[in-house]
Amino acid sequence: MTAGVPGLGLSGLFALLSALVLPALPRGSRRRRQVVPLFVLALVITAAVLGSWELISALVGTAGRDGKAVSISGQAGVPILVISLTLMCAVIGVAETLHLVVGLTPTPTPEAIPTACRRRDRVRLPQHRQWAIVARCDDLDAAVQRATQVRAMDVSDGRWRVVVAATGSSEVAVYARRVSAVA
Amino acid sequence: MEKTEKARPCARRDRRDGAREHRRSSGSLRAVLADELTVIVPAYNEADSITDTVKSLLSQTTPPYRIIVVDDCSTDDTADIASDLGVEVVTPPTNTGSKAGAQTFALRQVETDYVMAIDADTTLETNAIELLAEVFDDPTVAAASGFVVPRHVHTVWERGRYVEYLYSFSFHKRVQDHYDKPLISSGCFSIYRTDVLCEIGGWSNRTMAEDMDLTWSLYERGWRVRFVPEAVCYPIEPHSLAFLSKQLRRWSHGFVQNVRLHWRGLLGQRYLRSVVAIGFFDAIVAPPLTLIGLPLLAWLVNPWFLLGYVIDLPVVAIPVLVGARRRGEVRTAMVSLVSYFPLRLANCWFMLRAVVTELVLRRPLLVYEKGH
Repeated sequence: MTAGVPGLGLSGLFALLSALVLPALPRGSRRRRQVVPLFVLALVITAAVLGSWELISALVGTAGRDGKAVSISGQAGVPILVISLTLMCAVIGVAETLHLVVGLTPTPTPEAIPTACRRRDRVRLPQHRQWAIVARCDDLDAAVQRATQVRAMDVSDGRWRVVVAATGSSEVAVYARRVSAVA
Repeated sequence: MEKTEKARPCARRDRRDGAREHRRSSGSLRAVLADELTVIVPAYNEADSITDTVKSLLSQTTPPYRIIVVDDCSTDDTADIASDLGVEVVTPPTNTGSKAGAQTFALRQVETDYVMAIDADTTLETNAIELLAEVFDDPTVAAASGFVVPRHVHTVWERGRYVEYLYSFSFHKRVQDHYDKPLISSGCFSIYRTDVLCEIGGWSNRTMAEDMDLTWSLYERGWRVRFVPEAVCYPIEPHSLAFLSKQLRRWSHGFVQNVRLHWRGLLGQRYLRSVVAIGFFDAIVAPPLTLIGLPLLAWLVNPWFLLGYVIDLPVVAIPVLVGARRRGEVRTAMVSLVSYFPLRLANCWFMLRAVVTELVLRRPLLVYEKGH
């Protein structure tokens, strides 16, 4: 059951059965410790369900309209719990059949959102130096991209200039230089 | 390829890992995660409640790095109040039309690895973020949500919701979490991985239940979602039938819309497909049976059929009382139990309307109407 969705009892029954088989599932030790109270709770709920059903059956059986006993056990005396279980299995069976017949079709998602640059990727420019290497890249495109990012996030106050420059080796470096030093 | 982005962050990551290991041993790994957390608070005319929400965030044992209040063009003092509290306030050019729109607007500005969504009428236990952040130690977890308890428990509707939440969060969600498939990561208080959230387009407003849509989208992409019962939040729930109607209308239509949207994708999720199938069957069959079937049977066959309205009282009462005992609220729970049944009737009525409108008449609800 989820908040706002009314329950006929099948959701509750499914959750109950799911809890009752939990100890049989292979789990990590931390989770296993959490299984025990949930399993005990499921046992208590099961006992309460059976007990209350017996009580209601007894009440209804002895106090029908006009003194006539009435069965609420379902058609042909089949216990309501069996009817519920059968119904639940049928619904699960439909889902399983759909899985086999229809197959899986991923739900389309909306367009991705461009992420802001991560805080941890920001450059800390030195206070006491006139220049600093902020990145070394394999190609020019990556260097330009990184330089644009640094310009936007870290040197927007205009005191630093970001320069992309080829080095002696095959790499491209991104430098930041103080504006006064550039002049 | 950028070498520094390979080498330096790796080095940084190594140092971080070392630091994490150290902090893990000193028990403050969660503090590291919270330092990488931005909180988004969507707000439209929330002047009465925004103060409590922001103060609750500021008083966390691990306060977030950044708090962004999205003032969705409120006509009251929401923005001023939030600014006075010292948090960042951003305002979209026009009203975004939904909570999802406001949250996604702010998501573009998030610079941290994790982002948290919290409603503007929700407060947190002081250690809620710390506890919730813990599960992100697992790299396969993309979202996590906590235990929800109504802040005020006075009217019949608030009491009914109190019982409904205790039942759902004390039993159903815990069971679902053991199967790694909580049905929904509650929109009122959840933490997400920012990159994953951005990749799937943030909070979508294509359904009325953006949190359910998001949770199911994450499952479809192979991510895990966790439920952390120790992390508790306190939203203000509808106190009157008028407010409740707006909320239930959104939720019921949202559920049906999400089933229609995701059913083919969910077929690949072993446990979840059963949960959703049974939930959907309940949603379709329970309302007519409860609202029409039981009264007819009671009238035509035997009045004892009216017991059908309360037949599952023990099933509901036991998890509720266990949950209430943990919180020291057994008396409140006992007094509130009876209120669960009128709320369930209201749920049935709105679900019946949603099923008929969405599936039979093919008239989807498209306008987000704010309740609580």
